[in-house]
Amino acid sequence: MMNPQTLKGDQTITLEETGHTRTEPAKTPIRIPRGFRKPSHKTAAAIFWITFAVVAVVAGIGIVVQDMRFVMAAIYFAVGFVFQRAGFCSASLLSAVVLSRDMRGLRAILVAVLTAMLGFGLMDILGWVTIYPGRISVIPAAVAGLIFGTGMVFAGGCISGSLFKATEGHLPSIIAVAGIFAGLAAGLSPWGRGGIDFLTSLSESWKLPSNIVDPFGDAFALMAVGIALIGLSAMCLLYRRRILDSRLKNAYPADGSWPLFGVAVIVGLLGWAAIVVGPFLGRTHPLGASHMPYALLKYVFEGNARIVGLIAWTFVLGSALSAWLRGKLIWRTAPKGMLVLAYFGGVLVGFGAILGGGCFVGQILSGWALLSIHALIFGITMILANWATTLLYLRGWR
Amino acid sequence: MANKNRLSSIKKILFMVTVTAAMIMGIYSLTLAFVNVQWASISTSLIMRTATPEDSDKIEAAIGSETESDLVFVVIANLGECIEDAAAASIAVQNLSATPPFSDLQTSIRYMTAEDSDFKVIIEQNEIRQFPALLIAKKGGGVVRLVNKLDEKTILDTYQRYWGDSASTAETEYSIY
Repeated sequence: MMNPQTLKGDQTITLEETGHTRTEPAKTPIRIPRGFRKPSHKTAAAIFWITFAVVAVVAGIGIVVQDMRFVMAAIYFAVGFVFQRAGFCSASLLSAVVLSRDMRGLRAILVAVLTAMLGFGLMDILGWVTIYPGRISVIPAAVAGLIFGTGMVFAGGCISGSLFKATEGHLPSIIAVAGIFAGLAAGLSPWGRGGIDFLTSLSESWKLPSNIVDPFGDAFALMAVGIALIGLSAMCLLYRRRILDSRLKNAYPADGSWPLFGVAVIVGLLGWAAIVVGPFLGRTHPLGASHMPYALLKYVFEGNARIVGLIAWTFVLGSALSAWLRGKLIWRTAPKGMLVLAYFGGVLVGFGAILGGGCFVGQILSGWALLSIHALIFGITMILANWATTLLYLRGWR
Repeated sequence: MANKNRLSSIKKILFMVTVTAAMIMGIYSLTLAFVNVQWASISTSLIMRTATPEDSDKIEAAIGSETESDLVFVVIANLGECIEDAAAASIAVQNLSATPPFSDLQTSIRYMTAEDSDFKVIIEQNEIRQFPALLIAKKGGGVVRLVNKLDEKTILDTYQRYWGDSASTAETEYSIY
């Protein structure tokens, strides 16, 4: 019997000479997950372009007939599509920093915020939009960030992330969405309101401003544009090699996902559209996700809800289309314990959203771009809670 | 190969020029922002009060004898300070209350100075620390306080934000994004 480790140079041996025997592959059948069949590359491309054209026409009709519901529906459809396309889920992007020191998600979030901020500032200078001061409630924002950030790790996604993963057929995310509804309902209940009022009352007398700069002053727009331009150009300089290297141009993953940074820019641009269209439908804030389940809950139980919250459910249609085109529309389940944890995480996410007045999309992607102090507090505590929970729960403090 | 390298160099130069220009514009914008800065503070930001029982008392105090009006403007000036600003605010309120969108509402204006007997109560209840200040109180509930910036546009924007035709755009205390 020869030891393969003693071989020199080009010397080779057969399997029999090593004393090992060839084993047959396992006979156990491979379970193919049930799901919708992925269309061929050509069909997928055709469906994508036809859908893109239809959505653009719908938005165009909305502008012509001055019915902004169509435009908002198109915006949220596009948001759902691109979120799924890049797996733009804050829980995953943030946890990756702790799990694998992968900073791409964090940088993509920053790019989305800066892109949105640039547009808000420019449109404010041009007088196209009015930036309103958001609310400020320090303790609820901080507590909500902690609850939301912890819950999103257990749920496996924030509100938008859980929604697009649920449309893919991911059972834990479907359960998490149910938990989110339960959390929102808990926040709307009398004791939930009582708790929120109590937390609000603790910092009511602090009297902090709601925005870094007075949004009604000239400095707001200039500061937003300045921060955005400096931030974006600094990132371009830092990653100039990746941006300029033409060899990377076609290096997209085979699963049809889109690059995070491209999607981050698209999300920022969709934020521009949302802040222009929103006021026509009674919404002064740009993009958001928590107002979708909130509006649905209000509509079901109280019979009235903000129309924009119901229209925004086109997000799910966009996600479903993207998942189908990528062959990701597959039923996936998980052990019971994970499902219970996902529900518990969803409840925390839902309650955190109602306490903090928003979620990752509404508070970070939009709120940070509006220089809102409430959103900054919520976002920072949310990120820290996400990292702490990831470290303790997913990495076991290693 | 040479052409490819040249193209690549041109691309690099264009990229650097664009990014540098963006950086310079950003620094310029930020400089201008700091020159014009009006840091948000409690004295410049708008505060909307929802009609809680406590606030109802404040509204009543602010309205005083004008309880029959739909909308009451309380222009508050401190004697010896910002007299000109207070006068300008009064003119802005006067002009505005006589024009749409307030034309369908019964409006009244009350001017207050330190000589008024309830001056101290109102500034304490409404936590006014700078003058001139404007309280816009609505009979149906809610009072908005404006400090420093009291031009017609700001007052109109405030009204539209909280009670006007586009009042639905106001994000309430429990609205979530």
